[in-house]
Amino acid sequence: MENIWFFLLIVLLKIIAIFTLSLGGVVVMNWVERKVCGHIQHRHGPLYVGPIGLFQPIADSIKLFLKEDITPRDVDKPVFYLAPLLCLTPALLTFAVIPVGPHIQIADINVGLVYILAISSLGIFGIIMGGYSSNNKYALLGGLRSCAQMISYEIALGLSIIGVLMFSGSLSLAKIVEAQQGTILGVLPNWFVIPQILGFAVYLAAIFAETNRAPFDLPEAEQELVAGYFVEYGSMRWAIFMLSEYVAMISGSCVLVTLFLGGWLPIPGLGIIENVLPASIVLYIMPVVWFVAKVAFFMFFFVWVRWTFPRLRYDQLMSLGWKVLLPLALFNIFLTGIVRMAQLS
Amino acid sequence: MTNIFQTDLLKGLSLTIRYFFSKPVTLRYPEVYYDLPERFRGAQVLKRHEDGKERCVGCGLCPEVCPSEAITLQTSEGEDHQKVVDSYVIDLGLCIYCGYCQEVCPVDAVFMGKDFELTITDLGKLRVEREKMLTKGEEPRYESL
Repeated sequence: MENIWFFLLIVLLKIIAIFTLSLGGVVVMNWVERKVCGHIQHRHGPLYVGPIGLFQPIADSIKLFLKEDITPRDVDKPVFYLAPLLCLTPALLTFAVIPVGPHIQIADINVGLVYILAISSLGIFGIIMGGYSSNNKYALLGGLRSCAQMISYEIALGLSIIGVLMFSGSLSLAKIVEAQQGTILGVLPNWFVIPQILGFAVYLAAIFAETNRAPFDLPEAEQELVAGYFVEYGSMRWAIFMLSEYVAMISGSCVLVTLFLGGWLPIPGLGIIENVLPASIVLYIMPVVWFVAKVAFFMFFFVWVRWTFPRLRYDQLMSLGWKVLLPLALFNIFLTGIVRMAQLS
Repeated sequence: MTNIFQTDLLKGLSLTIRYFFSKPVTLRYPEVYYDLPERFRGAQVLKRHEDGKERCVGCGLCPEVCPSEAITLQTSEGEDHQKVVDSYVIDLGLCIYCGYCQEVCPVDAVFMGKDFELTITDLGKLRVEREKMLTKGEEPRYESL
């Protein structure tokens, strides 16, 4: 009997850690976004609130806490209140199966990949509910557009992962990372990005569209121009939508790193550091460091891409999803199948 | 997207990353001030002669020429039937800082100074009188408006 309480305690601690890290990551992301955006545009970002503007997200959070929460009169109240939570929760749930180190994850279920795809699809409900319940034409249209965009790119997303599945032979994320150990020809790491470069590219484009992130952020840009699906939402509810967007970004990057870039495996050239550190650190902390470093790079990449490329028009976006990414993903599966058959025979 | 390898996307990314690592061009006002050009038209000052006597004789040309009627001049007859300036007020809120008053002044009294930090919380303070505008040297600086 003691075993189960101990087990539950450990899981609870892991959940608290992941929760804190992901939401803390969102706060950091807010600062990173504004600073990187500023420097890309040849200006400083936030400077005055704390050293190099580090307390700016805290100041923003305090402002959001103290803002008046207005619920418009004719909204569909239960749906209106539920929508932000339904956006945030699936994004946070994907962290449950991501391995940040060898045997360091909340739950190692043997259908981890399917779980991630299923849970991230639930986030779309939050958007459509937010758009519908706002009793506002623009919110409704923005919500519909965003929903259609996300559904289209879900397909390309799911298909791009099949190649990884063929290489690893397992849906469990921990086993996928373990299958990427070792090297090719002694020099290159055995990460799946190398044989699956096409799948990687498709996944990268699809995850940008899934998180409504530039250059696929037409549902958000409509806010700047007209309105979007969260126009009627006030302080904390809007903050929850923003949170859910960043958390989805972080979890999408985590999945990308796990599937294609070797998860917690060391970065090839820098693995030399492991020789000089004591064994306990190498065993438990370094994998997390490698993982976080890779995810951090992709966070920077998200922001970098946002401030580089112009926005795709909606029909260009849909055409890209259906006419380019879907065939490419299918072609990737076809090619991977041939290569694996040749390898295994 | 021009070709199948999307090299134009990479060109765009390399441009932004180059900008990211270069120094921002922001001038960090108010810690750092911009070097104003010599003929910069800021708030007006009234100059004096070398012996300290005021240059302004109350001719009335600057209120006439001012496009936004920002200058108000009142004169009266003083001793020796000389013209004496009773009050000379420029409303810095109406003034458009065109510099016509400086151009038209026959005795070189009105001069556009270099003060541009004219924020106030009380609109009445924008109407500056002669005493505030008189200078001892070239550089004008109001005690805070």
